[in-house]
Amino acid sequence: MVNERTVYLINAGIDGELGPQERAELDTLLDASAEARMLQAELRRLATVMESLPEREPPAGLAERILDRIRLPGPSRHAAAHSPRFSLGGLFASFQPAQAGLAFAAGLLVTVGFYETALRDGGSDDLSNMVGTMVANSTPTVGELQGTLTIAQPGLSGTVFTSEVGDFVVMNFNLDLAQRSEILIDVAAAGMSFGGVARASADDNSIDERYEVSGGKLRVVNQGRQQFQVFLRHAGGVSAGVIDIEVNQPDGSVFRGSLPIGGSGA
Amino acid sequence: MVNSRDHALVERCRKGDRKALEALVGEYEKPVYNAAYRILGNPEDAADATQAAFLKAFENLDRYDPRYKFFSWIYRIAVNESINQLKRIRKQQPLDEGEIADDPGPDDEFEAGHLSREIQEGLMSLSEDYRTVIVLRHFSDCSYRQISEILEIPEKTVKSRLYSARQLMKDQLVANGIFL
Repeated sequence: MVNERTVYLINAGIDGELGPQERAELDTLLDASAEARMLQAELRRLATVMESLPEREPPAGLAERILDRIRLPGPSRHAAAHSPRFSLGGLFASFQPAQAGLAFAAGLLVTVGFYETALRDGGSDDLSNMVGTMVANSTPTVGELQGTLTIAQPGLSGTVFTSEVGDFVVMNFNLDLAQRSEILIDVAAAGMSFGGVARASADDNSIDERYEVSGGKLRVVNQGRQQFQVFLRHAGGVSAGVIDIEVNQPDGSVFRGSLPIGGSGA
Repeated sequence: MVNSRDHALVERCRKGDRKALEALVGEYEKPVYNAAYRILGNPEDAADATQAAFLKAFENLDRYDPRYKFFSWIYRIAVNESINQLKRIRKQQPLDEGEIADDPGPDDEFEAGHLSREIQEGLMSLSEDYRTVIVLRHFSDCSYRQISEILEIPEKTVKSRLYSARQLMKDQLVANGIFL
């Protein structure tokens, strides 16, 4: 049995953290114990193996994605590359329902209200590069049903339906993803502007709350059972009449579908 | 000791200089990604944690204390992001599913095959506290002092965790028939 002091000195020696006095003490202990020498050899070999494993290369484009999403304070020579940070949480906290002027239920008032505020601020009209965080909304917004998409394929099941509430089209996702999958919603091709994303429950911490908008598409990456709503508004141009959804699973399988988005567009 | 180059780059970032931002991301993308990968055991999750760490770091640049190394700061955020990611993954996975990807895939081809997998499985079998100190010491080459700074724990705790973690890993590898 190797005593505690010897174990301490062996470990500190492997890490190169021994002073001359402790080094001499360890040498004496090792001379006296074959068991201690074996422990030292095993731990040293473990350390060597771990440190000899090659570093992994980050995925291609990761640095660019990071740089694209970081906004720095003050002036920048790359102002066009800035990504508008759009936090619905902050808007939710500051919104006064009475400003909305819409006679819906309280939860809906709040929801629509802060999206209107966001759209007035202009940030959500930029579909080129944006990151955000889903806001919790325990009172899911309802409206006039427009279309339903039922998905049932290996590793992916659930429904997506669209409804119309005032100027907004609400996409309601209720999905079960067996693997971590990428959900893409082609907002720009549908002639819509982006309002935000709300997850169904304030208590549900199981899903990743982050989302991205890039190249006109909203991207959510997640796994497991999840309910969230995507809020869109007709951009003022010609609406495509449908919105395309794509779900990419890690095994390479792809689901593609479309949903009607009503005729409120100009 | 503060890295004066990093400190200067952070100061330039605070003034909106994107060249300085590119330099810092270029410097730390790979080490942060590798630490996240060893903590999470999955390349996609590691990429997500790396991205989240950099976003958080630069969103909160005004909170960076120049008395400490930028290295320690970004690592601390990356470790926390990785652990948060682990918690999210755990909630989404049945308890009997491992955290390490079943199929190594083409990304793993460069790794030294079986032994590398055994090492990663050994890491994933450790608690987060133990795994993190092993990763910082043996994959990120941090000293006790740097680990203490990154994790905001006393050096004595670093040693205690590290020695226990190494012993557990060694025992597991030996039990799995890996010669050490």
